[in-house]
Amino acid sequence: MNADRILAAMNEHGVRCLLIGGMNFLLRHAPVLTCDVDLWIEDTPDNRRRCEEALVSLGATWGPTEADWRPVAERPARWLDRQPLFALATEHGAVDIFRSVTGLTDWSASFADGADEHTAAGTPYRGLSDRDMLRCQEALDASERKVDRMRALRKALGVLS
Amino acid sequence: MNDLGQTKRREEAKREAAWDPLTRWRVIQETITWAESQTTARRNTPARCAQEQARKLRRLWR
Repeated sequence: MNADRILAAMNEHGVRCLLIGGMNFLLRHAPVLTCDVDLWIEDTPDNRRRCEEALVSLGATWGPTEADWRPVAERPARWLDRQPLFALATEHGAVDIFRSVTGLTDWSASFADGADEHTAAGTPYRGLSDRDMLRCQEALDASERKVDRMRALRKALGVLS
Repeated sequence: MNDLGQTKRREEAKREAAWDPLTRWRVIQETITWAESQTTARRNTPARCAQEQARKLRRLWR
């Protein structure tokens, strides 16, 4: 996994995105084992095109089915338009691209509320706020919630549970 | 929390404080790479990506 390379590719291509999920929690709170980089992108045609280019630069592969799995460089433009989220394999680790996120409705509001951070290697990224991370967890079925993560987020927010 | 739990938390806090952030970040990424190399935990493959995508789409469309 090279999360720096994945985040840098998004930055280099000007993709407007928020780091969400386990990697965002790991970087901002506590080390949890996560095997992918989850990115919530601004869902506009131009941004989706930039994201497609960034994914090509990462050597990403994806397919509508496992049988039709191939490098995204071979797909015609606008392939990111076809569904709300994509789980891709890349040369630098698994990447999930979200056009919408359970529990959150307004990308711009979440982006405004997000935090500009750097990885320890110095790669800049914008991370989903603690409040929105908690909202995502609360929107899940109880069986899918990450209780330890919710506890840490509530503690960081000063919210009693 | 029992004594052992408190000791563990203190020891972990000490290690966190002593760890150079860049080394810590490198070790975390290497740990993920190692976990990825284990057949039971592999995530960066077409089969697992397709499976994970289907699970997340189901959640989104619920």
